[in-house]
Amino acid sequence: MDLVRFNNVTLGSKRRAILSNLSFSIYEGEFFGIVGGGRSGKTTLLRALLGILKPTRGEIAVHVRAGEAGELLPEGGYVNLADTPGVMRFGYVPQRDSVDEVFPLTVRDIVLMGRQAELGPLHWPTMHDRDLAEKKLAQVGISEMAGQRYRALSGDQKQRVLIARALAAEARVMVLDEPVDGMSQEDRRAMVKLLAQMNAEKGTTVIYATRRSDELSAVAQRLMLLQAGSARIGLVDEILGDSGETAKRRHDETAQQTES
Amino acid sequence: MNKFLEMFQHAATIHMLVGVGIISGLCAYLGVFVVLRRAELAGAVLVQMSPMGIALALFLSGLMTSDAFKPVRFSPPLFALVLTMVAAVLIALPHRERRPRYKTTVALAWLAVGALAVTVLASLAIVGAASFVHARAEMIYLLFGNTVTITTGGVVGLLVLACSMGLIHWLFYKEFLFVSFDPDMALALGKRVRLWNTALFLTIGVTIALAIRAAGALVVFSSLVLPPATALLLGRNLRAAFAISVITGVLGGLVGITISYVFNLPSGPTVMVVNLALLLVAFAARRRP
Repeated sequence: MDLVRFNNVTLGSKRRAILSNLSFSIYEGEFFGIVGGGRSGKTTLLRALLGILKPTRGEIAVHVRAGEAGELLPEGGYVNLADTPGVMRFGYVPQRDSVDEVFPLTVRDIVLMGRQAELGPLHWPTMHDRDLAEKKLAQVGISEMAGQRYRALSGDQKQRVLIARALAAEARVMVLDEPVDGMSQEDRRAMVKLLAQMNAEKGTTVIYATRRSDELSAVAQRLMLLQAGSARIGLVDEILGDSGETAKRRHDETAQQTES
Repeated sequence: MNKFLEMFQHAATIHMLVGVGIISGLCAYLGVFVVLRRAELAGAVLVQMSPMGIALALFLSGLMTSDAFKPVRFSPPLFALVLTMVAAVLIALPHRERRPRYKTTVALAWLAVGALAVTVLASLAIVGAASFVHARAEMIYLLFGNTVTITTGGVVGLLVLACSMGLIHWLFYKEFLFVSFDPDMALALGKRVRLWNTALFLTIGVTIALAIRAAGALVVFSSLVLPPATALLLGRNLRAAFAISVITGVLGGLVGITISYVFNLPSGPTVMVVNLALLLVAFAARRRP
């Protein structure tokens, strides 16, 4: 089932389009990779998907469940994101540099923010929320840093905090903007594996933007390649132009996951 | 020394101390949000809306008293409050205030409001000399404050204001913090970012508009910016930063007002100098190994 539909969408400013005439769908439960170099439009695309940036042309429709779009479910279950921003909740991992370090917040404070969608106004984090935050920090390997100031962490650790916050949201869709940038190859692999497990076991849709296609070749079902304002979508092998190697690696990875 | 002791023997001076203490503490608390969001210039615009509102109310009152209309008197404090609230809503509308264009727009608004207030004030001479004299007195109160006129009712009013703001911020603290820290993630999680931003800036705007008449623009603005800056230098976490900001804000307000009374100095600039001195001490203390 289509979770998100881009219908002839153009993104950018009125003067300059960054991405033009995008028409594609992202399926529910899919691991969808977006690959492109610097300034290729990855972040712009993700911001449009989150409802932060409105398309200059076209429509982004999302499939909502009963209760998400008010009392009445729209026909077919699709609503225009521009009309109802925030109708779908996303676990979002922004680029590390976009997070404001002036705020003297601890790692725990930041991860607990991920619980805000569940809590709503006039409700404070419970013991369950705190336990969940600790669990997510343990999943990304920094449970001992819960009480530390975010600003004092290394780039790699900050990245893990943001991933833990998005995991704590327990949203049906995860949107990640270069989430493992700056990590060692081993750590990158471990993080991507964690996301792939979540995708496989819980059916969470993962939308993952990166500059490095090798991060996703073993786990993504489809890739979107952004280049010079245009987009090409296809299966991983089609996009990366690899006949057998990638498929083999993906098979090995899946087998390892099943064993563990 | 005699003059210092004399302060505590008169109801008026005690009201002045309590009133300035409440205003400084409240502004210092709200100022933590202002400084963290780097919205100091937006705070300056809100502070400037009070003189603008008063000048406009007196101008319209003067205009309506001319031969063509029946005499109508517009309330300057009400005009100041309404204009400040409108400005607060407009400031809260954009999604992110860290964009360069937003800062330029706010800077232009600050200049425009200041220039407009002076122009309207100068135009009062056209619509009647009485309004002009009244307006001059109002403007002097607004800039330097009129702390000696804080009555028991005024103190009670300020206490009600502080309690109301305290309650609103206690109930919605996590929403105000989330949309201030990461509006993108807040939106991604379905939070109504514009609504919470507007609510936050309205609490700041209403506090400024009501506090400014008692303590003056300099006390309000310096309490809104300097104690939070001090607190963010010293505080190890956000809770500590809020506490330090309120403590240094109250301390700066009380010490400043006492010095101004004992040495017969204008209260607004004195409070500002004391707050600045506290910031410099914090800066020096932080740099010491």
